[in-house]
Amino acid sequence: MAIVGSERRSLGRYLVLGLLFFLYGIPILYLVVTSFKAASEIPVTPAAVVFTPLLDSVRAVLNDALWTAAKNSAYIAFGTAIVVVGLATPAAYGLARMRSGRIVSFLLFSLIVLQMVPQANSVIPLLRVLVRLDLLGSRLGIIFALSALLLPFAVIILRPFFASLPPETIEAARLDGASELAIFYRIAIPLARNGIATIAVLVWILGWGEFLYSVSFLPKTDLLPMSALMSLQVSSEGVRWGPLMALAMFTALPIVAVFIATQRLLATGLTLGAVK
Amino acid sequence: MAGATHTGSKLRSEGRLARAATWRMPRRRARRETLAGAATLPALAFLAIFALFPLYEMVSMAFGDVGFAEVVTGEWEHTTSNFADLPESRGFLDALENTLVFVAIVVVASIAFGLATAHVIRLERLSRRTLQTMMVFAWALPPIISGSVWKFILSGNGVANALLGLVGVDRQLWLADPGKSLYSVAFVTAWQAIPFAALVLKASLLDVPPEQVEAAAVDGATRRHVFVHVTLPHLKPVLVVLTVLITVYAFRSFDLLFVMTQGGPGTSSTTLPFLAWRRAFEFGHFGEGAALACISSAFIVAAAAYYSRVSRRLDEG
Repeated sequence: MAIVGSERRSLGRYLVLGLLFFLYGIPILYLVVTSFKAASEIPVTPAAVVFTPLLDSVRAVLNDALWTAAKNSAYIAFGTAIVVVGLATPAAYGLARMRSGRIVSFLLFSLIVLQMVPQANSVIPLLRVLVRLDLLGSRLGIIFALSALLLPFAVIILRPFFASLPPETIEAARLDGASELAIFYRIAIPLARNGIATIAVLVWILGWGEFLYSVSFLPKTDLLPMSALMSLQVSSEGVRWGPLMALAMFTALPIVAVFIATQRLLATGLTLGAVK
Repeated sequence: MAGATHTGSKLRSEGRLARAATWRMPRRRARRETLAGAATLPALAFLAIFALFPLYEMVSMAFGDVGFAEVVTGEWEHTTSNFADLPESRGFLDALENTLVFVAIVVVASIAFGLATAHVIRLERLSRRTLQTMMVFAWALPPIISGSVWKFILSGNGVANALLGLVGVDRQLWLADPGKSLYSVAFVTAWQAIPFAALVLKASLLDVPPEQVEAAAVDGATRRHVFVHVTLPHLKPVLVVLTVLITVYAFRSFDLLFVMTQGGPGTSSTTLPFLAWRRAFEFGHFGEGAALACISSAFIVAAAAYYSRVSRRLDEG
């Protein structure tokens, strides 16, 4: 009886495992496969994985437009990461060191609200704000809008890192004559290094894939990032799947690189926002 | 501080020092408090301009007859029709219903599959670690990329129909059929949220005290009993937080909807925040878009209030 039960259990476990491998493997598999398939074969044998690989689609998207879009994406990704880390680090430290519980919990609540407002909604009044600041249609405008979206999240995640700083360490540094600024730079930042790195990587990835603000605020010119370039392909009548998948593959490449380099950081970063 | 005053009452010379300390300490502490506050100022100022002020503008645009020209000039006529017309707007009511269905599917699917996944990847084996890596990658992938790939997979001549054809399922229009588009996008949205739910639940599953499980097993409890009476109560707080977070995540969904269906066919996969964007940026009715944005943001404030109450209770407990 017990043996039958445990066999059934492990069977169920293998079914779940198999299903998950299938669901999470399939999109990556066909992203690559379709990029190298002949345009005439794609609609006829979309699922085939044995075929003669061609470079037609890859060549079709490897042009100046892709390079320009990649530079725009990089500009937005690095710009946003710098603004968010630069503003969130001192803010999170300040919030962790403040004693007034009421002010801190009010600020944290406001940050949670701001973090949750749908981007598709804040984009409407942001248009007006960017017009006022003469930032509409510029990449800097995208960086600021995106930073405002991600900053609350960054502060919420970073604060516990600083809050876990032992007060004795700070007191000892103070007795040694360290200024408050030196305590921040020499003690707090090195100790919260992991958290800061996680935030930087997460923000960079989100900046690289930024889409909504770019489609809404940038003219259809050489300022568009990769994501917007892709959407131009999707929305056109009769999608050309080969070039689209090739474009998606190129957009994913830097993410793959960052992912491989920071995988462990990401796996923990993923769960950070949830419980704390 | 109390200690300092106590010694001060005993020895006169030290007493003066101690008194000096008692009034200097709060001042130094107050200075530190000010410094801590000052460190938050750049971020708060930035958010005031790019996050808080837009919320104010959102409300003021919602009560105005605002097209693109008015957005540029900043002057518009006041009106309440953006809100007053909503109860009779078919698009609004449909979007409300779509949002409800969409969020419910994503939340239930993400948590159920997240739990199953957590149960499987909890074991440290090569296959499980490989799966976890693949899933974290799926989560890290920009939705514009995963959305494009899924759009291809679910298209009429796509992979899904080809594979389902092998087991005798008829060709379906997963994205082009108004009766299926919302469910298809909800499926992909859940696909992207499951890794998050799974990792959070895995951490929590590993925390279940093994003594309790053993004790229950010794008492002759079946696996289901152990799950219902030991594991589930342990997971409950995390499940509550996850439900709120995934509700908000599903509610905010935009990129996947935009890439996969653009809210269509017709309005069949248009959710409330997406409708707000469409009215504003597709049709140029920024006032109407702002009014819809106000309504959907109100939902979010409610969710945020609930979330901060729950998470504070978790911190204390």
